[in-house]
Amino acid sequence: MELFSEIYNCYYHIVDRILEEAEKHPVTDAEINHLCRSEGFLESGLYLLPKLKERDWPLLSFDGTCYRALTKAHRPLPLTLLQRSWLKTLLPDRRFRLFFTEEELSVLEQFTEDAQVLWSFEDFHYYDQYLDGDNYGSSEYRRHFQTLLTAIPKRQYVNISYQSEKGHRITHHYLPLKLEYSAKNDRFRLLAIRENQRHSAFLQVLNLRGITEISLLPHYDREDFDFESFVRTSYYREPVRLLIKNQRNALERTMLHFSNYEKRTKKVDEDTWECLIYYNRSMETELLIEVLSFGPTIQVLGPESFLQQIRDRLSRQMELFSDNHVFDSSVISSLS
Amino acid sequence: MSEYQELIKSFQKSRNYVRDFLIYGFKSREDFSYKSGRTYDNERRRIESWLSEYIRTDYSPHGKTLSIALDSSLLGTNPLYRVWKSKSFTSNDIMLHFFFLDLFQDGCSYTAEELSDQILERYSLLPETQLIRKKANEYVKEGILCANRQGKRVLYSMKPALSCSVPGILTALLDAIRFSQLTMPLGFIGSTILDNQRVVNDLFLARHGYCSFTLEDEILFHLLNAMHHQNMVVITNRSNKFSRSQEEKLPIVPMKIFVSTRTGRRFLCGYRPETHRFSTLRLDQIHQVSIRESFDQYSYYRKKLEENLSACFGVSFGVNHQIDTLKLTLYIREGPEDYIYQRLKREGRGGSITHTDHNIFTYEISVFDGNELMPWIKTFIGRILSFESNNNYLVQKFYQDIYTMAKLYNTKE
Repeated sequence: MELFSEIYNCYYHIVDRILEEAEKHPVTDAEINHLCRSEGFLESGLYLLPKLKERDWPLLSFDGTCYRALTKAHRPLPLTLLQRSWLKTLLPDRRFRLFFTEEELSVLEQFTEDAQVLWSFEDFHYYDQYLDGDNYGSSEYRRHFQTLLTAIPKRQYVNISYQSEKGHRITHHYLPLKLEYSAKNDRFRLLAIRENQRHSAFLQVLNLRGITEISLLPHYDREDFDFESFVRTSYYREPVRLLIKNQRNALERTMLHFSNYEKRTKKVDEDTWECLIYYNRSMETELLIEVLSFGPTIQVLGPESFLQQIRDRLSRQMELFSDNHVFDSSVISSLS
Repeated sequence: MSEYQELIKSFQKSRNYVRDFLIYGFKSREDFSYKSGRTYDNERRRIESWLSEYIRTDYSPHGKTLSIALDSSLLGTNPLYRVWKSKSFTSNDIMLHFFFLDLFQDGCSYTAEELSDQILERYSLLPETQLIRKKANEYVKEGILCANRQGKRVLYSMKPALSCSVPGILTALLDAIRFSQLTMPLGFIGSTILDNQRVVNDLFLARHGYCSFTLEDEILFHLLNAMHHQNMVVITNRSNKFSRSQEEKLPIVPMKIFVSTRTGRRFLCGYRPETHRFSTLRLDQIHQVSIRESFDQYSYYRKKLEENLSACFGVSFGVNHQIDTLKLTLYIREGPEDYIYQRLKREGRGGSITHTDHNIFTYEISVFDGNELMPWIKTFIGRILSFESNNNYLVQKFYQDIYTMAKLYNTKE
């Protein structure tokens, strides 16, 4: 079993798509080019199309205007042993099991019988994962999860009763959009829009474990909706600007740590870099404490509102030290 | 001089370039001087082709820079999986692949000779029977074909497609794969199943997702295999302590993979017989894994490791045998700031929390390496009443950092 294998190659995927079309009907040059562009890498057409069209690979015939497949009805590739092994490995996972009934899991166990597991869950140690993850074994949680799996693809409205972490109870009609999983929190969140705010730019984030009741409503959303653009409109215009001095390996640590955000970095001088991080309100507090965790190895330059929050926390900190005589001037002078 | 190709034979070289473009994104051609300019140009061109919609080019006084700009919280899949889908192949590889998919209809089985005849008849091509047999045997190993011996004849047939194997649960399975390809180890494999089934993930997102981890998946794959069979390995490691040209070879018994969900970093934790210690090594700094003989005392040391984990705050087993004890006293307003207390509970990794007075809480923990707590402790800036430890270096460092930050931001005492 190879991970890096031509079987999973993008070119195979393109040819598969082209043959599928050309088995059904004659395809034009433009259609082939389009499939190659949409399924392949930027330059795939340069290498792949001449091989197909000039019959280096005799898979298509050309009648002067259109191409036909020489294959008659090629079948989908069965799952490889590697793919079945991966599925078999996931079967005991509590999150994976959320999707299935016990009977369905038995079918999958049978399907993956000849495969070997690639790891056991004890082989991984998620040392900084929060200890209060979701209760995936709860039948109520599973029912809510399954209802959302039904509603999201159909864009079906749901009625949700919810209890927030602070104890507030609300009930609303929502259009569920995505389920978001955080490995750090070990929990699912629902990203949704309230029905009465359908045309606002305000995304609701509900912890799945806070949902106390959910039911499908008999109506659907029919309008075009671009989720990514919708979320991007919530981003602040001004990114956080960080100045990084390469002390204590800070450059590599920050670059890795913030690699889950969209960022832009430039070199200022030999040992200084400036990094811009794009964010929105829902990420702000988390980003703030992540920045604080780096201590003085990085300096926030802006925006002013973010900078002010850092200053406020440090001011409060210095006051606490001062009030408790932990950090008096003699300590400061001995350190400076 | 070989001609530029979009596809590659080996993953290793491209892995380093993709990582540099994604993680750093500010390096110019000159910063890649450890390889020739031509190598840089070829790698850059490939990466621009594989990841075209995520590529950003900037111009600075230091030269033109290329970066991969991703906001992982908005992605339905990891774009870097595309790098795994770039393996080069021969014309025979791709032709036989599609001939097999066309010829092996349900219930059909052929010998290599019969396949050769069919290929000649249907596609007017005559590959050597030996070549067909070799490819068929490869596909048997990959689990795509089955081989049945009937006397001297070996009959090949194709396994059923996924949709025929699990028809009643295909929708649920694809949803589970949509989720797992984004969040589980070796998720690239799941993405290939979605490719096969021509579906995309429009259901799930991953918050705190780190895309670069997939670049270490081949290393991870070999290490998991060694762990499964309780083997020793020799790894080729290139840590930050050395320049890029210097590598070290380390014999180690792989025991566990440590994962940080906050930074995406993954580490191999293993037992090193020559030092009689557990060590952790970053997966992104391991360049090669060579699997060796099985290790007799595997179960004993795995148990030892489990016993040690409670004193491991992160990935360090400390530099000496001294245990660091740390005590953090926090001011938390009871009621409105209960969420801070909750943070201590869920992020404290087993440390004890005592309600010492009204609005005052004390967190205490004993660990191999107290230095690993320092970033986390700084996230409580604004609420820290005191920080104490039996390790004076940590106490000094903590107060020095706060003082330096206060100066940096012109904060008044």
